[in-house]
Amino acid sequence: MDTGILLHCLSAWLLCMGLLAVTLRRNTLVMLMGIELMLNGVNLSFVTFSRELAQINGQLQVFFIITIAAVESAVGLSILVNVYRNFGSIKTDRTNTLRG
Amino acid sequence: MVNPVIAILAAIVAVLSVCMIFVRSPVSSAFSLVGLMVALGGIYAMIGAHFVAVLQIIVYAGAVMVLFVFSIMLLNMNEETGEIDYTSWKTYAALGVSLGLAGLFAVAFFNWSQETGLPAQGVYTLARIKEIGGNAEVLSALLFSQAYIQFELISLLILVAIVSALVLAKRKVD
Repeated sequence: MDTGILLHCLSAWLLCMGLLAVTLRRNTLVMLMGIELMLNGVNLSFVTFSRELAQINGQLQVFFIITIAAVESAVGLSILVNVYRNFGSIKTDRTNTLRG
Repeated sequence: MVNPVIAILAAIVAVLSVCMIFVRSPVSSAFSLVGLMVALGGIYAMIGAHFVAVLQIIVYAGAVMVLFVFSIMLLNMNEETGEIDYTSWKTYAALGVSLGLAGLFAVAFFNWSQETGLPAQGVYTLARIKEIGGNAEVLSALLFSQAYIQFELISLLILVAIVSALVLAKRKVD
């Protein structure tokens, strides 16, 4: 078992744990953390491929992904603060205005 | 053979990702995510992506997670644990789907490296990067020659995000 396989499996694990956090938890804040976890898994996959293929473009892509993740969490958390102001809670089952 | 430091860091990352999901309070989730990101930065540094490692520590473990902890403080969630409903079948369906997906990805990566072998190698091996002058130098040369349009577009995106965060932070939008 070499380093590349270990890191690829770790990136798949991180992606699936992020998916699990988004689907399992009812707290919107932890769901946002799950999205960050998924982005981290993808970043690890990019860097590992960049190392294995001796190319630098994967790390360039990770630079852009990290920037977009920071932007996404800033906007997402400000939406979350507004949700808390309007509903008094950030659990997903309390924000059901649009439910049919 | 795997470097033992990388193996230990990978084990820390795997354990902390499980902790993040199954601890009850959001503060504990946030702090396990901080630890996970620092350990992941260590892995990046070990496999030669030094610039990405520094970026991971500064932007993720620093800025993004401070934002998360700050909004936990702002929202004052004492009883808002949002715990997992273990009686519902949907919980077990989600567990099965994501663990199955992880297994599928692992098998796919294993087959990729065993059967098809590595495709054509690029020029930037670790020795070549060291010869040029380091990871950050290679990356910045590429960033400002090949990818400068994307770089400018990212700055536009950050501007849009600042404006939208300001609009959302106003109490009444009229």
